[in-house]
Amino acid sequence: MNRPENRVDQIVSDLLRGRRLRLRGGDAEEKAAIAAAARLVAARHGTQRMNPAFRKRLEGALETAPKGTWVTRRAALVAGL
Amino acid sequence: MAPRATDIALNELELVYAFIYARVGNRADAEDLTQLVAMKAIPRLREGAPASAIRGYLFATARSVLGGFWSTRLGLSEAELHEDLAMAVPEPPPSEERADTVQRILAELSDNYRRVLELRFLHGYSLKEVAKEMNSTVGAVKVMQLRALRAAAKVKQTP
Repeated sequence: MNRPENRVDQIVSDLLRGRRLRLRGGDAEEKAAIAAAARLVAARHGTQRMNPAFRKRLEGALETAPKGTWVTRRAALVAGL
Repeated sequence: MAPRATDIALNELELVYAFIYARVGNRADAEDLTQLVAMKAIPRLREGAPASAIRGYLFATARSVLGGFWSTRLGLSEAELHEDLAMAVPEPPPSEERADTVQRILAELSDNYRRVLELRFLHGYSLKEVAKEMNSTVGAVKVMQLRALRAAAKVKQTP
């Protein structure tokens, strides 16, 4: 089961069933193949929109989030935001 | 009355969600990452900022969050990640990921590689069904799928 083709197929099968990307450190060797698989699965589903329930949750979370101060895009990138 | 920065950002987050989904391929991870982008970026938005600035800021945050996602999950530094995983941390994004991009990538592959990826990913065949269609074995199809994905990852992404 530890052969890379088995491991990558497990990840592909999970993605095709709509499951999360369940990765572990040993998968780093095949990171490019895994990323390609994620893109292909996404392409099969077409451009996605947020689920209305998720959008509502997001709105609620944002309403209660504390307001900060504006930072420039460059500052944000440097800060890793 | 001008729309609030938060309201503009919520609309822009639809694009961010599509951008992230196109790179992780599943809803649960896309939702978690989009929420992370929102929670990091939106409290820092300035009221009255133009939509273009808000979009740029959200996508800059999204790229950073995606880089962190892959880095944490794979146990790599972000420097290592950026070298090999340009697909996951791309240049400023298009408004949507187009299916024709995938067709273009597949067109660059050999017939066998293209076929196995088309059947598995675009048509949703199981390994057994792919093996039957290609007169092969499940084991051989798994190996071919891995090699085809490696080859697909090497196809240059162009706008």
